[in-house]
Amino acid sequence: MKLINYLLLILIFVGCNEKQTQQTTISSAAPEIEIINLDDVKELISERNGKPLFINFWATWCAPCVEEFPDIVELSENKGEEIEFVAISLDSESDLNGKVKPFVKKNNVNFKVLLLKESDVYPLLDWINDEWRGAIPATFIYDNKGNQVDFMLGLQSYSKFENAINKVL
Amino acid sequence: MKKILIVSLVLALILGTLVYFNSNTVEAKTMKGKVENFSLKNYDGKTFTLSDYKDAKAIVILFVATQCPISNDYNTRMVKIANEFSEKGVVFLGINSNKKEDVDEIEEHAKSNKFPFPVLKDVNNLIADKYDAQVTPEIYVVNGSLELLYHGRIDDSRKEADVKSHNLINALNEILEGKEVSVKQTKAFGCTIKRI
Repeated sequence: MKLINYLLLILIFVGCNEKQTQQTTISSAAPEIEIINLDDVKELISERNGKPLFINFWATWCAPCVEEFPDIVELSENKGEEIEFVAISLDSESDLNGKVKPFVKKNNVNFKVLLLKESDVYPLLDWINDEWRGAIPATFIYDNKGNQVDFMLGLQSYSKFENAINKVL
Repeated sequence: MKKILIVSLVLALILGTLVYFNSNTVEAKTMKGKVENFSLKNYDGKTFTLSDYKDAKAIVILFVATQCPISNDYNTRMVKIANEFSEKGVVFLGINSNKKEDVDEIEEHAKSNKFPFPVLKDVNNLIADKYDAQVTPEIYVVNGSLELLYHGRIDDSRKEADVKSHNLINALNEILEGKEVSVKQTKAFGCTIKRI
């Protein structure tokens, strides 16, 4: 009996101390959103494996970002096999569970969503495109070799996004 | 032959003039020269005119918002910087260009955050357009002659504890020391100014 209690305690202890990885989840239904840094963004762009890339930078506090997001979701459903869709949130890391994940879940997002570390926001702005002064939403289109072919600033529409990605398909 | 020469000279003069004025317009738009003067009203109805501060050591123009979380993260810092540098002869003027943030809201926000500077309403976002201001917060520092000395962010982090580059403070210190601003332009991250 003592041995069984001892084994039960060990099991509980192991369960409670499960190692936290960067892939944080709050429940089995919640989307997995990795917190990344600028090097991860560079790697994402360069490792195309023959597929072009659509990256949208957004935040839950950004009204036009929220407005255009459903169009991106719809476009990804139609074109997701031809081009990789990634949305990178510029929300605070502290808003990941309370705001970002609920938003992603509500919008039935079926593509990769990431959150950029706050400390890498300005380095990102300086690196990715000289013309980008920092306003969001900002969308970048890359060809299948990782070359940036389009930069779209501000609120877009399904047709505008579609026209842009058609350049690389 | 003489006629052809005269016509060519006249055309060259016209062309040269057009290029000169066009390049100046481009410079103003890209904020490399002087900024435009403005007169805007504070929430108490008082009018503030930029050119009235020709004797100021510098004038800091802050595009701010009431509802933007990024701009609001900087409220305490803006108060601190304004309090510190206004004692040294620097003038601070806030501007709200957001369509949906009315004067009453601006007043309540400014008072609750104890802004020591006016927050002027930029009706129809005219000044934001002239300055090509895109986000809040976004900063323009000019001298008494309205020459642009610094444009961009306040610093490099929403979280004050993580700030590494105090861009606005550094620029103001250099100005007060009579030095050229070493970093004249940075990118500003924040909420898009909600234009009409």
